[in-house]
Amino acid sequence: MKAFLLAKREWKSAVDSPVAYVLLALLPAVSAAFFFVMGPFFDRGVATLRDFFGLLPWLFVMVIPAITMRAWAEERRSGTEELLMTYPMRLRDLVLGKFLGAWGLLAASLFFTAGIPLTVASLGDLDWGPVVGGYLGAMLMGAAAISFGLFLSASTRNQVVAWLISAVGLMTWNMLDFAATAEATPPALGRWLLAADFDEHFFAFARGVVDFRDVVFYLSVTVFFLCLNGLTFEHRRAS
Amino acid sequence: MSARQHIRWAAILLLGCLIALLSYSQTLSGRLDLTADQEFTLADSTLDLLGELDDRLQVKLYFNRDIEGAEGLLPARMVLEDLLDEMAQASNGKMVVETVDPTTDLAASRDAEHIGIAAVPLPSRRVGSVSMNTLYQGLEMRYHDASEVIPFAIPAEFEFAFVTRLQALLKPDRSRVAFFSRESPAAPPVPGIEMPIPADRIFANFRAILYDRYRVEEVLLDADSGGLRLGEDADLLVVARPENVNESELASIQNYLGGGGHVLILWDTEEISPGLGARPIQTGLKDWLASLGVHPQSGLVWDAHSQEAPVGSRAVPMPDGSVKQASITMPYGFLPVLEGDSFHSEHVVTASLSDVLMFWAHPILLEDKAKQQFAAETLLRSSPQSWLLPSDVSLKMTAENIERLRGAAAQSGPARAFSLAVSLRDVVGGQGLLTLLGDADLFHNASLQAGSTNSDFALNLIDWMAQRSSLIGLRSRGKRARRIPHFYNEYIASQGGAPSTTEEAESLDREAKAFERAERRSLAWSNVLLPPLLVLLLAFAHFSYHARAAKRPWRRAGGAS
Repeated sequence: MKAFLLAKREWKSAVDSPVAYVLLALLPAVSAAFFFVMGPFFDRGVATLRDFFGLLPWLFVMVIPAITMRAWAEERRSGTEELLMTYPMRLRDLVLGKFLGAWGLLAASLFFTAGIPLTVASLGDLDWGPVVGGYLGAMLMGAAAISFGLFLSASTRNQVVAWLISAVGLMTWNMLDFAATAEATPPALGRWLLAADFDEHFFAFARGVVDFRDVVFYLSVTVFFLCLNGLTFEHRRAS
Repeated sequence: MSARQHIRWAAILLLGCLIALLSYSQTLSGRLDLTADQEFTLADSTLDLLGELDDRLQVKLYFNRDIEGAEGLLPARMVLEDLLDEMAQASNGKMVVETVDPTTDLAASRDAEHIGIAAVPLPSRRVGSVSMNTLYQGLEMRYHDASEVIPFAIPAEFEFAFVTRLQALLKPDRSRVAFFSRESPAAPPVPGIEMPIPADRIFANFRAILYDRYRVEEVLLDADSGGLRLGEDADLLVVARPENVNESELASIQNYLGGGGHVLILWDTEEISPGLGARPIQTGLKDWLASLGVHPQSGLVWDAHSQEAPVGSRAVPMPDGSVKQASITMPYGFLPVLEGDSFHSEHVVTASLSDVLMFWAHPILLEDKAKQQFAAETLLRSSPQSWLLPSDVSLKMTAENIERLRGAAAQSGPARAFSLAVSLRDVVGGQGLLTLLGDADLFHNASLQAGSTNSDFALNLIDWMAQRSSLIGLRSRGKRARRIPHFYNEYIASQGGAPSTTEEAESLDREAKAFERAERRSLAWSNVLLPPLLVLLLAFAHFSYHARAAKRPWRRAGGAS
């Protein structure tokens, strides 16, 4: 419950900052622009959101580091990290609170994209299964990306550096499938790279299939980076 | 060990746990299919057939997993393995899957070649050279002493391909389709030589797409042939372009229907040829159909929603000063395109179709009697912007003639949709099923190519009439076109369809394009701008509230006034 208190504080400080509103508006506006204005939706003439969900992993590369960059780096820079550590909370709750705060912001941002499926449904016979699957997958993928971003934010005191390394890290992780299919990559390694690719596990959700393996992938990545986040503080405390 | 070392070891341990967990999770299965048509779940017909296995079904998958330079294909190809795994689980151990790689196993390579599983060449480009890889993606199914082969399994069509072969293994007696036509007999096959199709065998492709799943037999219906008997003789009778059907042949058809048989009639009132015009055909069935309240009409449907026909070419000056010949096409109303509302949306045959391209269309008039007594249903209809023109009009595909035909159509009366294929139940004696297609050219060699949407319609119709409708759902999985409205066509329809003069047509075309652009823009930009505006409004409300609150010097205690 203490984690939720910190998440609430994070939320409150987010809505008091204009940056959060920019982030809330950015994801829906950019995804709608790519989907309706620049994408082939009208030319194809089929009521499906496959292209919208195909864009999400790449939009997350820009948006999620922007959500997570200030989470820890700003605390360190302004010297409030030590104050935070004096809260009557366990480190686990602190990390979880930061995570829930950022995850809530992502959920709000995704909420504002609801106009896209509603528009498509008003035009044609949209299958809502893949839409539900896509949003569920987006939340799980977002959770994994946020925990990754929080870990990197905890490793630096500069917000811009935190954004940059998170964005580059996520982009590289998304591009593992390119490495997997490269000629120089041995086939066995290619298979491993494909299994580890970040967005590869999202596409089944966007098709409307919730595969147990994909859920396990995102949940375990989320837990792994949250634990690493905690260990970073332990390491800093020990040194 | 210091605290910092402890932390480092903990991080390494965590990484190990993550890798172990992810590796282990790959061996687990379990998924939830959220799609409306359960596109990624085994169909009931598949589960029923697997439940009927009384002996081991040995499936040998010829599959080379690792292909250098084509690893990106793997996730889609692995759908095959996933589906086979699900089938094996559903068979309660009766189905066993063995995967072999013919690229590394010489014996498997020989076996694959022997049973007809070909290696698909896959070029792989490298700097300075091109190498060739091979792709194996076929399987052999063995059950009792019989075997069936899928030479190359396409993931999206795999379940259908698997089930039809499993059905053939479990029920070796295939459904029989009796084919009655006036076509000349097929030439005997000569091994190694592909014989040209004789000009008068216009349903050769139709028969060919049925051979995969049905035993197709040419039949005679006159008194000497002894007639047809339901079940023992045929599950379905196809009467292809009936001509001069005599009384004994008609009696055979009626007897067959009376016994609960299913009859598909590919009707033609006229044989249409653009160069020669229309040759009337005396079918010999007109009076009988009229007694059922069904009237195939003479005359051709002119549909504003139609295929484009080449009508000539014109010289177009290019930016570099050269001149190129560009072909000119115009919508030719005698070649209707059936889409959307042209299909019976609830019928298993037509619900999943995206489009059907017709070559000439003769309408069918249904009396109320047919609708009430025989539960007549219209499977295909032309668009609401259609007119009926006499068959003796010129069919030339020239700009002038098309203009003339448009004008004649507009003057012939108000536009309406015409029934093009109908189905009647409980015909003759209360059991038979009769389907009538207004124009047999829909199943002509030229319009039925394997894999086309026309052939999907043909197969759906045959599967339904031969009572194998569960296969329709399998084939159509994921193919249901969820179309959005075509703003251009909507505008044309709202303005009353095709105009009679070129000037009017060009003006309507400009207006329709402008309407389409405006509709698209308004939808797109409202989606782009509305969320930021909403967020801006929220931000404004939030900050103005806090600004007002900050100006207040006091706060009411406990929130009470």
